[in-house]
Amino acid sequence: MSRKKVTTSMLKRTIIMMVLFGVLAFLPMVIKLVHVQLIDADFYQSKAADQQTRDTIITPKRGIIYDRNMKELAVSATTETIYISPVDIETAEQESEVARVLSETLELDYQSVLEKTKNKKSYYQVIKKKVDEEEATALRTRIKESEIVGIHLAEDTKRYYPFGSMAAQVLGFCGDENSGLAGIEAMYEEELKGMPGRIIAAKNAKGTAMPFKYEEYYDAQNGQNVVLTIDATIQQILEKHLGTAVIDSGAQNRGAGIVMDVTTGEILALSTMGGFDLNDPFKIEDPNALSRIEAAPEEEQGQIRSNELNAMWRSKIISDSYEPGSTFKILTIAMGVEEGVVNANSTFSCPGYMKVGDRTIHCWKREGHGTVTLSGALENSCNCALMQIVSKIGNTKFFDYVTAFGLREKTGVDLPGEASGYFFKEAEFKNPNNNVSLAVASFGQTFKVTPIQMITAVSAVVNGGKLLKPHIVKEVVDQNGIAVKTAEPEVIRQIVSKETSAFICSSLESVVAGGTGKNASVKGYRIGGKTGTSEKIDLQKEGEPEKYVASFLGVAPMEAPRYAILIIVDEPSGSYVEGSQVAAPVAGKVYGEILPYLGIDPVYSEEEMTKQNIYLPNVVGMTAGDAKTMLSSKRYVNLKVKTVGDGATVTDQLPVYGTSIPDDSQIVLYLGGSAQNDLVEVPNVIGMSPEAANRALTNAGLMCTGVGVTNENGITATKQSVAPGTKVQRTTNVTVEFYATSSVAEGIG
Amino acid sequence: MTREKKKQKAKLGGFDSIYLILVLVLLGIGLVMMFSASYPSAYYEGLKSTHYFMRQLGFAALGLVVMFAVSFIDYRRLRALSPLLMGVSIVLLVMVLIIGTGNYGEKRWLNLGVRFQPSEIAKIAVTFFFASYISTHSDKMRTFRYGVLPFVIVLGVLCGLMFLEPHLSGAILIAGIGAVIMFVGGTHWGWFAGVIGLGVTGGILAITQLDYAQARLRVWLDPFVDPKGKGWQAVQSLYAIGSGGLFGLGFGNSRQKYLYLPEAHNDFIFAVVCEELGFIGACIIMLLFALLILRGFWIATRAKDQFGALLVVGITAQIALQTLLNIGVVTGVLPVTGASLPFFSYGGTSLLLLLAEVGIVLSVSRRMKTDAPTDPKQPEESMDGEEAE
Repeated sequence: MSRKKVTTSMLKRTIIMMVLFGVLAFLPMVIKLVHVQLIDADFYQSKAADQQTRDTIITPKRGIIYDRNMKELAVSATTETIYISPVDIETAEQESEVARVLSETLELDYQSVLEKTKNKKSYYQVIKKKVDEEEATALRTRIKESEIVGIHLAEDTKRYYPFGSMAAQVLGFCGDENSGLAGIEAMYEEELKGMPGRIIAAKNAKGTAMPFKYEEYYDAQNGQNVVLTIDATIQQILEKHLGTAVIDSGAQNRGAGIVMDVTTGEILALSTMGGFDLNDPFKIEDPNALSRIEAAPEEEQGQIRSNELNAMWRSKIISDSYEPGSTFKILTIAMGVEEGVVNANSTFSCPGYMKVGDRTIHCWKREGHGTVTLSGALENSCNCALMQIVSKIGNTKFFDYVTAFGLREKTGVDLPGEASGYFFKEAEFKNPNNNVSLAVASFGQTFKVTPIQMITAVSAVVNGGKLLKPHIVKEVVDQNGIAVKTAEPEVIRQIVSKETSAFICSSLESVVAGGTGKNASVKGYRIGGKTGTSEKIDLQKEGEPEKYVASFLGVAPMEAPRYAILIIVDEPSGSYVEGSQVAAPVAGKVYGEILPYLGIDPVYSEEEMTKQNIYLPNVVGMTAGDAKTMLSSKRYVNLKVKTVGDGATVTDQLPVYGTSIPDDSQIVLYLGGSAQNDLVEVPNVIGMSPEAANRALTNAGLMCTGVGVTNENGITATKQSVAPGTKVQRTTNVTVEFYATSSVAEGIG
Repeated sequence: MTREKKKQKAKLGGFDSIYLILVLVLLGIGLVMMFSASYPSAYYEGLKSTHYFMRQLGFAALGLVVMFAVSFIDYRRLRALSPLLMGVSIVLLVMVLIIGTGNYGEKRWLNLGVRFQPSEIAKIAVTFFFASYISTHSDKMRTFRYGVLPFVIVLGVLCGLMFLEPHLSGAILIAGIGAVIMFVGGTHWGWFAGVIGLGVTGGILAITQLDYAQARLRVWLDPFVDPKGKGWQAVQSLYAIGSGGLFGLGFGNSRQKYLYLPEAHNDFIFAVVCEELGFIGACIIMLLFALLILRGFWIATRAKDQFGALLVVGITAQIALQTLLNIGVVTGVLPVTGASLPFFSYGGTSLLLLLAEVGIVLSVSRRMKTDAPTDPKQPEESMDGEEAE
């Protein structure tokens, strides 16, 4: 064996290897690392981050909509979104197990769920959205019991409206993605929606979560709450009476009403009836609309259905315009008084028509009103007087007032879809030869305004002259209840003086006290207002019955005007179509309920005081003598006592103990036997005067409670609570509505 | 005899401490990084997170004992084992074709009580066999008959058997180790130039003529053409490296090791190193490897005899080639092929054998000349008498 020394050649060649492997060969690697780690690091980092993280959105809770007393009008209930991560579901048994559990608990199709479990690249397959807590809990239990993998629940929200259809067009509703589609929901979308949060979690190459916490959590910021100026109680009162009127009057195109605080511009109630259920906003219930859809050819039904839905969601107060008719006379007279062309002592003669240029324009009362005062012009709604006033105001001034009252621009109310009405073009109207337009405009014809414009303008006249911007949102508050936005009354301009305002107020009060508006009167309250009935000339079709808009614009209490009400009934088709018959009673009923609610006490006149109700005492069990003695005491002296039977003791009484009845009602005492089987037939009292109706009912053994206008002459019963011919228990109370009919005739014009 | 032994012992120097320290530092860092890189795999396989680490630690401890034991053996006594080692390797490589197992249908592993790759033994066998052969025939190395043919036959048999497994990277490594020993041993450089020329020509031909080769080349040059398929490993490795930036995400903070990187604790452990320790950490580790390689070759130049020198050259070449092949693949400089990183990659028997080889280098280092390299004109057989017994 040789033990050779290392040769020089070997040394040289070893040194070559040293340099090659120990130095040179590393250079390309170092250069590559410089590129990847230093120069292009951002590119690789972001690519890596993309694949390593899973981004989950957390839906924020949508803000609550409150009424002014913090009653919840729109709330978000928690629901769950159910999804599966197919990457975690490995075997076929697991797939079918997942599909079985999901299809059973959520009432879904087994096959379609199974299909989704096979989408192996995905870790997020939505199975069902908006699952309520009950179903979600059931599912959670199933998952726990069977230790099933791959099913997940994520919290989501669903909008819920506790009052159902109340203020439907005001509140609006939300779509699938929880964003507002109409009304306040759409208008205040930014405030209500909040900021979605995110969970950025690390995931491994299989898409499942990392074993260790690599999680960044960005909290969702819940939406802000919106507090409306709407008062749910007033809204309900308005909707109750408006809804009844729409049905009773056979209104073909719905009705609308608004209650506004004239001192602040706050909207206390705003309604369009018939409405819709906010919890099911795509359901059409109106049978007329449904039959219109059905009547259309199949291919057009979708379009017609969507038109009907849009019509149903429209707020007539905000988005529709109408000819204000006689209610506009309030503004014309205010202009005249403010301009000094007429005053309280002015008189006008009404021959029943006026010649304007070459046109003859009739007053609604063809035979004429004779000589009328300024106040009387409003009370009787005399067109001739108005035409005379407006001729003194002149085209230019009139036009400028119309502009000043805000009738040529949107009011800027914070609701979506506000329309702007239609008035003449300036040059056209200010043409001095255009006297016909001016004359007709004086009583609110041939132009259109929106109801919100109209009530805003009238509010300005009665509040001392200030035009206020109407608003429906009182404040926006954050999650901690701290106001981030508060609405303050916004005065746009002073239009008329306090004196003018006071004069108009007193005129309006006399309209309700003794003029065309008496059907809006309420016992114990001073109410003002003006009726209006306008023909829908532009929509009139040949051969069809004439279409009208009946309206009433009221103000109360007149001691200090505060609450304005505008009631509009579109296309009434019953026996009465005039504002005085159709709209004024609604305003009266609403005032009768809301004024006490708003803390305004009634002040009764002497006569009203005597017609107080009494509460019946219990006389059952007493002897006949004791009962009669008791009922002849001072308190019950007016009661008419009738006895049935001949026993010694009172076995029953009608009405029963505790019933509140007028003090001159009849009370029946049964001496032996019970009141149970003592039935009488209800007579027909419609069209009778209050006295006749009362007599008819009393004679039949019933009681009569009159509502509506009961202390006026020339009023007749228009409605009775129990249909004629019905057999009812003796002394049953029949409520009869009395309204003035002939004495409030205002005509159309 | 006892006197002579005493004399011999007195002549024994200590280990080359620089080489030993480099090995221990790399092994230490390697173990720690292997722990970091392996615990996600262990977790997802349902094992304890320290599972791979504890096994590797055990083999490292055993390996260090073997290393020191081997370093005390006079390497010259092992020379006689060369033919036996070669014979055993060939037998094992044949056996693995029959009863071998592997993860992807290939046959690389033998389980004879201990599970190991015969190719690891073959690397050592080639080193011993060639070193022994050259130190016998060093004067005839420039001839074809002695300087080329025997080597080509041996490498042909070994590489041929490994191709059959198939184990391409192992064959490349063996051929590379053999070529380095041949080159240092004195085979005419023209043969190397010829082989390199042939290789380049063949490569160009393959790329221009074969669609398969073209596809591989494209994926190598730009792995993003097929990031979810053939380019997956390269792309994921680049994501890891790039995520590291200058300073890295910090020890233990690799995100790519969560099942994105294939073989995060094995072939792609260096990507985890780059991600966690950044450019600076990666460069320090490459520097340590470079120093180990330089020191290895330096020891070879100081070896007392040709056999020792060529043993160290072979072992150093093996460490160098594995390191460069691995880092080259991980950084995308080389096309993807399986090669482990010495001291870092998970693998018990492979680490054990590596440390045994380090023991041989240390053994050679104990008998280094203390002065400058020997004068080449000195008689080559002068050491013989001293060694004779």
